[in-house]
Amino acid sequence: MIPAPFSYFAPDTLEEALSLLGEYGESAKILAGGQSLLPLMAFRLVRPEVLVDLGGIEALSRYELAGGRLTIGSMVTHRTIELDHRITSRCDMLREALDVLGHVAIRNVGTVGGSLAHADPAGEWLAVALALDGRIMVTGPRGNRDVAADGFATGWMTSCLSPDEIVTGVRLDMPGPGTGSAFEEVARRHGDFAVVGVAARVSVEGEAVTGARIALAGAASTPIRAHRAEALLTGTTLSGPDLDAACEAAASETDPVADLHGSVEYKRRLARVLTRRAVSRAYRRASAPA
Amino acid sequence: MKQVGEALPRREDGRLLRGRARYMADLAFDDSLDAIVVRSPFARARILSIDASAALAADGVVAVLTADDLVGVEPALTRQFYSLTPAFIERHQVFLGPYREPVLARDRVSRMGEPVAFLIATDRRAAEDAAELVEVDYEPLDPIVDPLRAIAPGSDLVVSDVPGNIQASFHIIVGDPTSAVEAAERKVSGRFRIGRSVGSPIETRGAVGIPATGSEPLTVWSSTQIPHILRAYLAEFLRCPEEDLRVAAPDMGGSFGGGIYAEELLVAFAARLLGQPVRWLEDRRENLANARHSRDQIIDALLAYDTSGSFRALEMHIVQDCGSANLFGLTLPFNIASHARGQFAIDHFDVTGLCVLTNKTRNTPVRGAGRPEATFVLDRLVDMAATDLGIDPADLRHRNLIPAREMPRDMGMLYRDGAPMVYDSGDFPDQLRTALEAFDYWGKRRRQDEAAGSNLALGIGVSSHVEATGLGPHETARVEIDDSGTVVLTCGSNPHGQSHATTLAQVAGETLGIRYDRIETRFGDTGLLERGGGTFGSRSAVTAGAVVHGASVELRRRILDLASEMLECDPADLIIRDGYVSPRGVPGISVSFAELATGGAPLRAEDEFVPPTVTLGSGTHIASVAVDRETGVVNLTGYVVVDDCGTVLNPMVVDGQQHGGVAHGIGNALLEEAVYDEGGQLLSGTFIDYLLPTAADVPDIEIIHRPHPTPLNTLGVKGAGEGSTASAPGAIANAVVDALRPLRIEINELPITPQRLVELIRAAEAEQVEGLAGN
Amino acid sequence: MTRDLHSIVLNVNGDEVTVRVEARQTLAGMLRDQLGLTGTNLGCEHGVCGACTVLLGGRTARSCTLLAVQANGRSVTTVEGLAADGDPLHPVQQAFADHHALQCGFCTPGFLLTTIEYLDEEPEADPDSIRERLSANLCRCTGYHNIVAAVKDLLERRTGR
Ligand SMILES: Cc1cc2nc3c(=O)[nH]c(=O)nc-3n(C[C@H](O)[C@H](O)[C@H](O)COP(=O)(O)OP(=O)(O)OC[C@H]3O[C@@H](n4cnc5c(N)ncnc54)[C@H](O)[C@@H]3O)c2cc1C
Ligand code: FES
Ligand code: FES
Repeated sequence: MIPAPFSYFAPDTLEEALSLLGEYGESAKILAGGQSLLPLMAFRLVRPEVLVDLGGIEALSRYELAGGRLTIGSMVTHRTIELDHRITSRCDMLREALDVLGHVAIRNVGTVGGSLAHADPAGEWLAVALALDGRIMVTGPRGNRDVAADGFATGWMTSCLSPDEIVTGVRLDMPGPGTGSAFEEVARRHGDFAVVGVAARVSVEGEAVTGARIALAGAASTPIRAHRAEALLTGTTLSGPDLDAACEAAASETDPVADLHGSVEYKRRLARVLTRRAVSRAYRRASAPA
Repeated sequence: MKQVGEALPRREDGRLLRGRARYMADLAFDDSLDAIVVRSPFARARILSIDASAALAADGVVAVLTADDLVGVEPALTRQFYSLTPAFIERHQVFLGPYREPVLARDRVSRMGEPVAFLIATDRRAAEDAAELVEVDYEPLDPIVDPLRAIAPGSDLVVSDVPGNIQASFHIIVGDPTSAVEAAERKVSGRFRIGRSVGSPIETRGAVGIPATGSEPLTVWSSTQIPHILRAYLAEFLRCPEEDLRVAAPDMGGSFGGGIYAEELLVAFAARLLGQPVRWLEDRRENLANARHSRDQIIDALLAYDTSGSFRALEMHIVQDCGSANLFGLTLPFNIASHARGQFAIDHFDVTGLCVLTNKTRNTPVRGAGRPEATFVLDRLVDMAATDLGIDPADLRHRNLIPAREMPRDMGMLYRDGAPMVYDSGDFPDQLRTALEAFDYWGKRRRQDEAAGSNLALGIGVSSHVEATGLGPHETARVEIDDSGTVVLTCGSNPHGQSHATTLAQVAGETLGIRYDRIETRFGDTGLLERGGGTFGSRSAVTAGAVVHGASVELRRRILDLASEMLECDPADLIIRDGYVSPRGVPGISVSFAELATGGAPLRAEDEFVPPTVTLGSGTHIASVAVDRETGVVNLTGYVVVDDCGTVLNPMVVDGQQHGGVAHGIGNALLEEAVYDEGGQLLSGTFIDYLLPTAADVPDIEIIHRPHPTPLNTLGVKGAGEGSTASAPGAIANAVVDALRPLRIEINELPITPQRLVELIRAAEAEQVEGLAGN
Repeated sequence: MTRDLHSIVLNVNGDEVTVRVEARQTLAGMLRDQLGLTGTNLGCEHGVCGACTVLLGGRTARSCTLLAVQANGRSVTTVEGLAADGDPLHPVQQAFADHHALQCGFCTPGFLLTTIEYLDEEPEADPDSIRERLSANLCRCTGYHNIVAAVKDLLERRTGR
């Protein structure tokens, strides 16, 4: 299983990378960690003629936590974030999501930007970005743009990126005081892609929910936000019927794609069950004294 | 020095731990070419044309072989794996149709992945690049995927000369099952489906053919379990005497199922044709699509019993999906039949087995080979009966186990080798008691409900199995002392993780009075030993152990005879210690093995062991599970094994085999499934979709040995390699059913995926709601 | 298409090496075919089985889903780098031998390196996390029981528990 031949470039700067992409157009592909791309190339399901490796661009490997906002360069690895206690202690959702994203050996090499750009419907990062009001930062020949995570993925493993654009990073809102978060998923084995995963963020004042974000992975052809469920939760105290209604809504907002590991029905059920678990835990965390 | 039975450290480990093993892909040969197989993308199609011209013109391509190029050789395999005796055929109403499996497809393909062309290039990269250029024009046909449809009247045929798609069948009747079923007060029955799974060693297969040179015959290195058998098939294929061929196995990264594969034949043909070594290495997708598929039965079964809980009769009808060719004849369904009654006294027994052809990959025996399937069905029936009678399953089991005093017990049928099937030894009730105690079964039962959480249900399941092991026909070993005084042990059975170099050396070492780690061992090379059996069916410890013992005893006799002449002392008064022979009580006088070996006559003993028939290993497993009622996820929380594999050669090694077997059984129970769609396309073609159990899917496993040595061989050994696979699915399925007992679900299908379980739970809940509404 | 060749320099098991590789050569392919380090085994070539695990800059990585060129300038440790021939086994190797944590040995190099990183990163780890951590690597022979026992033993010896 050897990839079809290609030419390899390792630019030092974003400008160089952009000009390479401009030059080779659709025949080029960006290489980040390669943890998704290289298996596809080994199967020869993807066969770019040119690979542009972003690994040498230092600017993309930085991240910063400042003023309640986490900004992550696209080439930062999953593991780098996972091991930064300042971040994971502030965001349970991120900690829980990273713990089940592949295995350490994958997280050591795979990148945040690669995951987002790959737009796997079951990917944890895009779901987390949806739940944390993420903005995905993109640069291209027409300049920089900022895309809301909600709407970034446009279909099965496709995004609004054009082939000459590069994801440079993502900005996430960290849960503040009075806000709790959680990530729940069912995968067939530890480290496998989620059958369904749910990221929930809940803000609470007194006992009432003042705001909620619910994002689901594996529940449609892209990660999605459950807007109706969010609205139904807001203003409630998470009583049984309210929570039931929100979970039903979340399930009905899904449009699962059946595969070997779950039928449409099963995935819908998981959406409902895991939404309940994630929201309840996030609510408890929001209500717990800091 | 006592060695047999000791947990002596493995001699294999040093090399393996340092990365110095030589697996198939690590072997390097000068001027070696790399081959790749061009395979059918269709389950069933006519081949209209093959155009290799573009591939042949590509960089580095040396040859592209198709069926038309296989001149002077047999174009297909036609001999099934085991021969059956006429008495067996008559007694069990055996029908065997023709078997024919093309080495390369000619006019038609009958499964996805079937080899169509063999492309040879200067290196792997060139081969992979060029393989894409071979143009094959197919006319796809509707495939036959479902075995029940394959045997329905009017079905298309997978192979034109196998009418009804039934390649083989048998019918076993013991006692008077019809009357017994009629007379029985109660019955449970069901249709059970055992999913197709794949052996999946972590090393994929590979083979290298090396042309004959002046001194060396045409040689094939292959990651095979059965070098001598492969040589016989190669000789038939190449139409040459076996003496003109050598087959050897390198270090192997597991195997878990034997067989003969086209690629092993093709590398030999290509090497002979091209005069250069030709290497073929399988990739994982090829492995999952083509190698060691197994299980895959639909079994209708019925257990009849009395209200007292006494089992009366068992009926089974087995439909074995064999895939497109049936190399192994009756093996799988007959294994199911042979193990179907497990540890229970069931006097009346009726089993039919059908080997059905479909447009899927050939089915082969893989670790357990029929035993897990048989055990799962029986375990489920027993627990269904327990529920029906309102008795704890452990109690019901106890009432029906064959008591130790009834051993040996003739089971009223023949085994596959033609000998009467006799349970030779064992104490099943003791095994169950030991397991229940070790597991704290009754204590856990009492605490079961308190321990459950809101979403979690806890369950306990018991399984017991028997395992006929140590199948013949024969095994050969030679033990000798070379000029330097080194003891050299050569055996036909070759290891792929089973620690032969340790355990067999322990047997020889103890007999010969020399430490096992000073014995040189050589395995799996027809160049070293004219005859040999192989490693399959949990046979090595039995057959190889026995034959190494036999040869060692003979060599010891010769050593003592020779030494008695040199030391002028009666052989009976001599002792051997650390490679020196001396008169008892006179350690000062001695003669070394080296001195004896330079004496002239070769100090060598060769033995062949032909087991009278199989011996009976057995085991009882108890598993506990936590079931997430909402998601259907099952977690194993505890696991106990009590086993009887007779004399234990090395407990550390045997425990390791048991652990591995349990994990394999867990895979079969919960995770592993080779899935074909209706078009005969394999959907589980990568390790992303074919799910092997990981460390997180397997619990700690407690193992307790209760050995009852067999009288059938001098060592008293029974096999251990497969049995633990047998009980895991039944124990787990019963535990899951137990966890959900208020819902009264039945699990009749493996693997128990979360989705399937949720469907069962939902259906049961709906029924309960309906029941309430109806009241 | 012509072969796109690159010269890369990396440190392998303590030695600096310069290798010319085709762009599509994986790190595993380079180690095995060009440096003769065949201890790194390939079980799936698509990132799942972990047999090919090496340490890249001290951290585990799948060498089958990493291009050799991506490792340019980095340091790589393979199983051959754990104990020189003739030297005693590395403590993790020794623990695997002591606990019979290997049978066919094909998965073993990957497990050794996964274990080394684990002990290195989390010397105080809770033994309950062992199974999840080891789930990165597949073994078909051992049922993991003895691998887990070996790692537990190593952890306990570290923490003196
Ligand atoms: C065994 C295994 C298990 C895994 N399990 C999970 C899991 O559970 N959850 C999960 O989310 N992922 C999982 N992954 C995938 C892993 O997380 C990858 O790291 C991730 O999906 C892609 O990141 P990468 O850096 O490796 O990207 P690459 O593989 O290099 O690239 C992926 C795609 O994104 C494009 N791309 C990469 N970077 C950019 C950029 N900056 N701008 C524009 N396009 C870009 C590439 O061209 C390519 O098409 C698993 C992978 C493996 C091998
Ligand atoms: S060979 Fe690299 S993960 Fe399997
Ligand atoms: S020891 Fe054989 S795969 Fe692990």
